Amino acid sequence: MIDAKKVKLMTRMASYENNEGKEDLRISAYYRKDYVSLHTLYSVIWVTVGYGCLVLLMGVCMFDTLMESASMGLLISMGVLVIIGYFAVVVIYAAVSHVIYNKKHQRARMRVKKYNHDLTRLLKIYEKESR
Amino acid sequence: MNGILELKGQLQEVYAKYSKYIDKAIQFILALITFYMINHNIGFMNMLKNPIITLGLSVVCAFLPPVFTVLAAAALVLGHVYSVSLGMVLVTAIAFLLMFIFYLRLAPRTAIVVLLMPLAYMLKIPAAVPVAFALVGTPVYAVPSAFGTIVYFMIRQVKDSAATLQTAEESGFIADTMGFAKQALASKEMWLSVAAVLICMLAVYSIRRSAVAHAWKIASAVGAVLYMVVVAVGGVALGVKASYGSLFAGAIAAVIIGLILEILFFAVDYAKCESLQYEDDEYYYYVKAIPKVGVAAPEKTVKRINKRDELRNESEVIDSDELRRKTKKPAGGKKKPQAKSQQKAQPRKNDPVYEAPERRQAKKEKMTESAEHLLLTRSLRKDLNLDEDGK
Repeated sequence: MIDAKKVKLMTRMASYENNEGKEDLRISAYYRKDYVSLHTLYSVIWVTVGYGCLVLLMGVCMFDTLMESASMGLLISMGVLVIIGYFAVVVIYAAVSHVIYNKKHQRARMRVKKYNHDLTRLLKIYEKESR
Repeated sequence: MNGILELKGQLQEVYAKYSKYIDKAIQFILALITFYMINHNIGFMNMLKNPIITLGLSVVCAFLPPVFTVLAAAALVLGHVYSVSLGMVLVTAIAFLLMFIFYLRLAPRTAIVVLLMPLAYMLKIPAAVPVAFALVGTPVYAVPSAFGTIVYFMIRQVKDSAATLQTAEESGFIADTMGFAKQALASKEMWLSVAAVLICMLAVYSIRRSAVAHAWKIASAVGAVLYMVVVAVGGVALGVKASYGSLFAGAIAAVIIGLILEILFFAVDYAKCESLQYEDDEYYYYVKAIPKVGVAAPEKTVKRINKRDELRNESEVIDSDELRRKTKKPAGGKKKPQAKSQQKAQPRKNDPVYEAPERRQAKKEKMTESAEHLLLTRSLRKDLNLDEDGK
């Protein structure tokens, strides 16, 4: 005979496994600290690439102006500005990434916990049936 | 209004039933319109412009997450720009890469806004996207909306520059790159539109979240007007030409979209608004409660009304059959274990509490009669509305 409770439980679990579950299980394989650190590091690398691209784009735009009024002092001050800007952007992005990935891991863990709870309930139903 | 709410209920039911197919169809249509618009505006490469490729790409995108549609659109734009100038491709690719690195990588689900914003510009309703996403979303959508605006103006710049570059006899890589980068990034109109989108979005969001009556309507109207004012005034100040007619039409379209979204996602009855005040040990609470308006989709049911059915319905309230069954003497056959224990406890003939079967039968018949009498009285009281009068 079909057990309505079991069907409901299994449907909920299957739906979770097919949607959020895939990523959640992957995320929850890491410890929170490891996951957050790893993704913050990725963010820093990506931001470095992005900042490089941005500086390149700005350089291309301002190439004429720079060539016209090129002086050692201007170039040095521009270089310092670029480096300060880089550190500022990296710090901001690292902080934002830290917060985002921390929350992401927390939420994923919570959902996985609920899923595990459902799994235990299902197991108990099976045990009850086999008795 | 009831008709609209009923329609909403029906739409919700249909969506719940066929959501899988409807989602895919919407994704397919969105991809098709996007690719068509790109090909229509900057279709410089004949191979990519082919309708079969557009259709095939749209079908593929329909079965992949929405972020793939964005990536496919970006690849299509780069492909078309490549056939014009290598320098322009470099600048466009860097701009797309920056968008991906600084935002879309962290929030890929909002990537669809980057796609919708240029579409809204092409359909001359740019204010609709910030108004809609500020109503149903969060201020985070301001970032992809701004990126979408930049993408649209870059595409327009490609379109404008391509004609000049194709007719020019000599053009070098560095000159192309520098020229396009300057034109694309120094466009006053682009930055003015970005500012208008951001201001509109933040204004709509803050009004929508406030506890004023008809907040969504006010937010939509204020957002649309603000967008219009910022573009018009900014255009005059910066010397940017703006078509006021299309600006006005776009603002009206944004308000209409806002109203539709209100019906779909925030149908409340302000007439029944309640202001409550209560307290606990630490705080005083001033609560404003507005009831939701919900009309369920009408279900087609056939109801037969006649006297016999009425009586049957009445008997369902106090189940007389069950009452009769209980009062009847249990017939032979298998007895429940509980009944067994009761049987043991029944008094014997010599006991002082013993009742003769005839007398018991008469008592039960009397109980049945009184139950029927009770039912009849209740039915009459209900029919004559005596219960209400008594109150």
